Amino acid sequence: MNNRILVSRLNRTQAAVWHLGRGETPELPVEPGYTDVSEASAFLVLFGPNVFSIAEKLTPLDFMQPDRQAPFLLQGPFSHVGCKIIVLAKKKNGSGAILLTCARGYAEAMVHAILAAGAAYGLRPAGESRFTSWLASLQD
Amino acid sequence: MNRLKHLPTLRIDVSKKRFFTYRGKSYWGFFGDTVATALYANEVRIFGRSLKYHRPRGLYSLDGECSNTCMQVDGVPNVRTETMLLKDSLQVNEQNVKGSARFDWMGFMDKLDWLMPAGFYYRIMHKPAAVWPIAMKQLRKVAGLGYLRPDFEMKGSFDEIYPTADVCVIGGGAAGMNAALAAAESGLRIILLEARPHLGGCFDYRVSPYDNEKTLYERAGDLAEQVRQKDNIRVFTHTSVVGVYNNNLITAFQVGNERDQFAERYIEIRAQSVVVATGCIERPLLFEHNEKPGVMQVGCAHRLARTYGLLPGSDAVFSVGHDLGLEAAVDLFDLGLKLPCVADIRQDGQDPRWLAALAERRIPLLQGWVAAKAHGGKQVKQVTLTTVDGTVRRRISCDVLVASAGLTPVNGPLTLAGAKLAYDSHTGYFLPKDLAEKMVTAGRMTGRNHPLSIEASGRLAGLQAAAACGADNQATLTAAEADLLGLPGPERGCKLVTAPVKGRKTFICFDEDTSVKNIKQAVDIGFDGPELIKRFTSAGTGPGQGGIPGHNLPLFVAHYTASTATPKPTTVRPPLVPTFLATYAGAHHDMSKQTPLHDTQVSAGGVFRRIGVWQRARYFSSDLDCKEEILNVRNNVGLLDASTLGKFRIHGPDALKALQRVYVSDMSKIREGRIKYSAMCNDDGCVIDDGVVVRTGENDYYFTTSTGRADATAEWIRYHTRFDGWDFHLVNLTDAMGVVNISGPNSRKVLEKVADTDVSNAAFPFAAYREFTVNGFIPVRAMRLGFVGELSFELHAPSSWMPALWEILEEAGREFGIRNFGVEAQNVLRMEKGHIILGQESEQRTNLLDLGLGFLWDRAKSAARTVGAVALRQAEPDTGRLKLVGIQMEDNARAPKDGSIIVEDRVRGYVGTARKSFTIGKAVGMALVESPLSEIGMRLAIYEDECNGRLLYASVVSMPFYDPEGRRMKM
Repeated sequence: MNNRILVSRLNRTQAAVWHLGRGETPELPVEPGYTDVSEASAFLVLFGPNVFSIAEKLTPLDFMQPDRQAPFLLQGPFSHVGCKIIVLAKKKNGSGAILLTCARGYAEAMVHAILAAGAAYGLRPAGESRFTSWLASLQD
Repeated sequence: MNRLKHLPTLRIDVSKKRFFTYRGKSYWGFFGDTVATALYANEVRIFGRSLKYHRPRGLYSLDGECSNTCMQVDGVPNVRTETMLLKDSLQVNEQNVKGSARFDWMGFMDKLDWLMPAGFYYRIMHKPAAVWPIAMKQLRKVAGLGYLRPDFEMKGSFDEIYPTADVCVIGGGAAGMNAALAAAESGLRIILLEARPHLGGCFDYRVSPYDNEKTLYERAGDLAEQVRQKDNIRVFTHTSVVGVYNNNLITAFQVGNERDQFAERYIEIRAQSVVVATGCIERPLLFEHNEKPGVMQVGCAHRLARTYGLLPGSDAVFSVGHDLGLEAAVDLFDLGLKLPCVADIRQDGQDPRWLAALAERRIPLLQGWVAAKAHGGKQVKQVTLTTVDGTVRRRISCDVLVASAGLTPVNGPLTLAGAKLAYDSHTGYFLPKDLAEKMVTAGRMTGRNHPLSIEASGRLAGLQAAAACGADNQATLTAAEADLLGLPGPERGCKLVTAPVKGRKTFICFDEDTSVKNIKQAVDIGFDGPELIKRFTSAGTGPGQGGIPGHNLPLFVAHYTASTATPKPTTVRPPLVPTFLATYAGAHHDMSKQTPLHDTQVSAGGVFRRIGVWQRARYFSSDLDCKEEILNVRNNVGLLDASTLGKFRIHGPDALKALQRVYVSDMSKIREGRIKYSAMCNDDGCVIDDGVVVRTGENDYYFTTSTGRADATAEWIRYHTRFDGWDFHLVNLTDAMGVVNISGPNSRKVLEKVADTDVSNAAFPFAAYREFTVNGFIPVRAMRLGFVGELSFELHAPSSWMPALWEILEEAGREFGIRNFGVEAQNVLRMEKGHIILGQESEQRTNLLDLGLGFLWDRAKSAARTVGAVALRQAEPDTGRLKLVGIQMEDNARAPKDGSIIVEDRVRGYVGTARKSFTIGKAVGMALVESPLSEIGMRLAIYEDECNGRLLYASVVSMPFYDPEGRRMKM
C-alpha cells in the first residue's frame, strides 16, 4: 500500500488495484490490460476494537495467523459469499481493520449480515470520512 | 429439600435464586442448578415416562446420556434437563404422559411388553396387508417423544462462530487442561472445549487427595486458573462436540449462559492437531428394573451432592464395579447419606485405601455381589443383591440405588475421525487403533485412573499435538514420555456384562425401552451382529445417541452368542450430542443477490422469487399466468430486468484460443458489430451454457452466460486452458453491468427517442451489436436479440446507471403504454418461440444434439481442442437418445406441471416447460422424449405429480409455436 493505492497480486497474471483515498479517483491507465471493476464490487471496511470477534462469526478465514503481518490478503467465504479480504491492521486484543469486497449484488445482504453479527459489539455504520481519517492515522 | 450449602465444591450460588414453573406451579432453585437438579431439590423424582412402556423415569447420569430427563421447556420438547442450566421464568412440563408423570394413564403399557417383542412392527400387523395402514397410524400416534406445535417459533438468538486454532483440545478435565497448557508452551493458539459449564472433569467434585497438599477439586481449580492466565488458550465451556471431520475440522455447539447474547451457538473449528481427552462415562449395570427412579450412576449421585448440594436420598445401596464407586460411597456417607451396604462386583482388586475407609465407617462391603432387582412401584424401595453367580440373594431397603458396572471411554470424536475401535481385554474398553493424523488421546479414556497418570498423559498429548503443528519440543516431549512411563498405567476394568437375571425388565437402552430380553429375541431370530441388532431392536437410536447401550450392547451380544471373536461396537455418527436445528441454522442471513434495478422493480410491484443466488421479479401482478405482461410484449412493448446474465470480458493475445476451446462454434468467425450465439459443452458433449459473444476490439471480447453459470465460468475457462500457457485475461463483469431488455413491436419507437444513434433495422439489424449513449451520457452496449420472439434490444450499461436508464426508457415508452414484464412472462414468451432455457429444457445428460442445437457445432474445428466435441462425434450417430420436441395438450385448458414425466410402461421422457399460451390459444410446451416418441403426431401420456393416476395426453407438434419464420424479431 502506498499513497492510498493498495495493490494485491491475485494470481500469476492478475492483480487488484484499489484506491482507498477520498476525493478525486485516479484515472485508469489507458492500456488494454486494465479493466475498471469499480461497478462490480461492494467495498466495505470493518475497523475498531472488536473487528476480529465479529469477523469470526462470519468466516472461517484465519486473520490472526501470528506469522502474517498486515496488510495481507485472503480470499474466501465471508457470510457464505466469496470475498477478497485485506487485513489492514491487527492487534492481539482483537482490534484492527479489514477491507472486504464482494460481488455488488450481495452488498445489501452482506451489510445486514455484518451489522447483525456486530450488534452485540455495538457495531455501527460509519461514513467514508471516518475511515479515511482512520486510514491516515494508520499510515502516519 | 435441604441443600448442602457450604461445600467447597459447589457450582451453585445459593445467594441467587432462580424461579421457574413446573406443571404450572412455581418453584425455585439456585444459579448454577440445572433444571433437573432444581426439580430434584423440589422433591420431583419422576421426570417423565418412557417411549414404549410408559415406565417412570428419573435422574440417572446428570450428563444427559439418556432421555430419562428429557422434558418440555418453554414449549420445546426433548430438552435434556440434566444439562440445561436453570434460568428465571422457565416453564417446565413432563412429556410422553397421559395425565402426569406420576400418574400416567398409559402406564398399563408396561404390562403389555409381551405384545411387543423385538422388531414387532416389522413382524406383526402386516397380514392381511390391509391391517398395516391402520396399525401404522396407531403406532405413529403413540411413537415419538414430546410434541412440537406446528406453529411453534423458537425463541432466542442462535449464533455461529468459526474460530481457528493450532491445537484443539476436546475435554476440559485434568488431562485436557494439561494438554492445553503443554501445547500453549510453544506459543500456539489453543482452543479448549468442555461439555460441562466449568472446567475440571472428574477432578472437579472429588475431595480425595491429589497429593499431600491438595485435594482433586483444588487441583482442578489450580489448573483452571493456569489455563485462564494463558492468553493463547481460548476456552469454550458448556460446549459439546457434535462432529469431527477430515483434516481436523471440529464442529460443536455452545449453550449460552445468562450473560451471553446467544441461546446456543454453532462452532466450527479448523485445527492443525487435536487432543481428545473426553474421559469416560459409566457403563450401566444390567439388572431387573435398572432404570427405575432412584437408580442412578455413581457420578450422578456424587455430583448431585458435591456440585449441587443435594443428597440423592436418605438410604442408598451401592452396586458398583470400580473404585470411583467406593470413593463416592465413602464421601456421600461422610456427607450424611446412610449406606446399608456396598456391593462390589469385583472379588478383589479394590484400592486398599477405600477398603480401609469403608471398614473405618463400618459400611458393609459385599465383594463379588451385584444388584439383581430394584423393587418399588414408581421409585426404588428395596433392592435384591445377589452373588455374581446368582447363588445367594439378599433384599435390602433403600430409596436410592447407586449402580455402575464400570467405565467406558467417550470415543465418539475418535470414531468420527475414522479410528477403528478394538476391545481391550485388560481395561474392558473399546480403544482406538489407527488414530486419524495429528490426533492424540489423553486421560481416563486411555484407561488411566491415577490422577498423576491422567495429568501426565494430558501433558504428553499436548506436547505431541504441538509437535504435530511444527513446534520444536522434542526434548520436552521425550521427558514427558518418560514421566508417564514411571506412573501407573491403564487399570484393569470390570468385565461383568449382566447380573444373573432373565432380563425381561433389564433395560439395555432406556430411550427405546429395549430390554435384554429383546436383544435375546433378536439373536434367537438370527441377527448375529450388534449393528443389525441395533437396527432391529432400535437400541441406541434414541436421543441419548447410544450413550447408555453403546458399550453394553456389543458386550451382551458377544456374551449371549458365546462368540469367540472380540466384541465390535456399533457405529456412531454426528451429531454426537443432539441439539436444535435452530443452532445449525444460526443467524441464517439470506445471502442473495439483488440486481441494480431491484428497488425499481420493488416500486413497480414486482413479486420476487429467489432464482439461484438472485432475487428476481417473477410477476408484476397477482395474475400468476401473466396474461397482460405477455400480451403487452407481443402487441406493444415491455421492459425486463435481465441483469442477472453472466457478463465477461476476455482479452489478450490468446483470448480467441480460449473461446475456441470452450465454445462449440468457430469463434474466429465473429464479425465486427455482430453477435455470435453459441454454447459450451462439457467433456460429455452435454450443454452447460449458452450465450452470445461480441468482439469489442483487437483480441478483446465481451460475452454473456446464463444466470446460473456466471459464477462457474471463469473457473471453467481457466480449467480447460490450464496446460496451454496462453496469454489472456478474464474479468467477471456480471455485477459491473446491468441489462435491460426492451421487447415488442414498439420497442424501436421507444429506443429511437433516447438513443444517440440510428437504431433502424437497416442501421442496427437483427443479431447486430452497437455501442452508443442514451440521452447523451449513459454508455450502452446494445444487442439486437430475440429471445422472446419479438423485436428486442438488450441494453448493457454500468450498474450505477441502470436505474436512470430504466427511468428514461419508461418515460420514453409511456406514450406507447410500456410496462414491465417479469421472469415468468419471459419464460412463456420464449417457450412459445421454442427457445430453450438450460436446466429447464435440459438436464445433466442432455447433449447439444438432443436439444436441436447441433447447428452451433463447427465440425471443422479440431475436435480434440474443443471441449465436448469428441463426445458429440460419438453421440451423433446414436439414435437412442432423448430428443427435444414440441407438445400440444389434448385439453387446451390444461398444461402439465413443469417436470412431469412422460410414461408408457416406463418413464420415457419428461416435460421441460408447458403453459397455456395466450398468444396462440393452446396449451403447449417442450419435452425431452426418447427418439421413437419424437415423431410429429405421436400421442404422449403425461403423469403429473399428485395426479392420482389420471394421466394427461399431448401430441408431438412442430416448433416453434409462434412466428416460425422469425419475421417479428427481425422487423
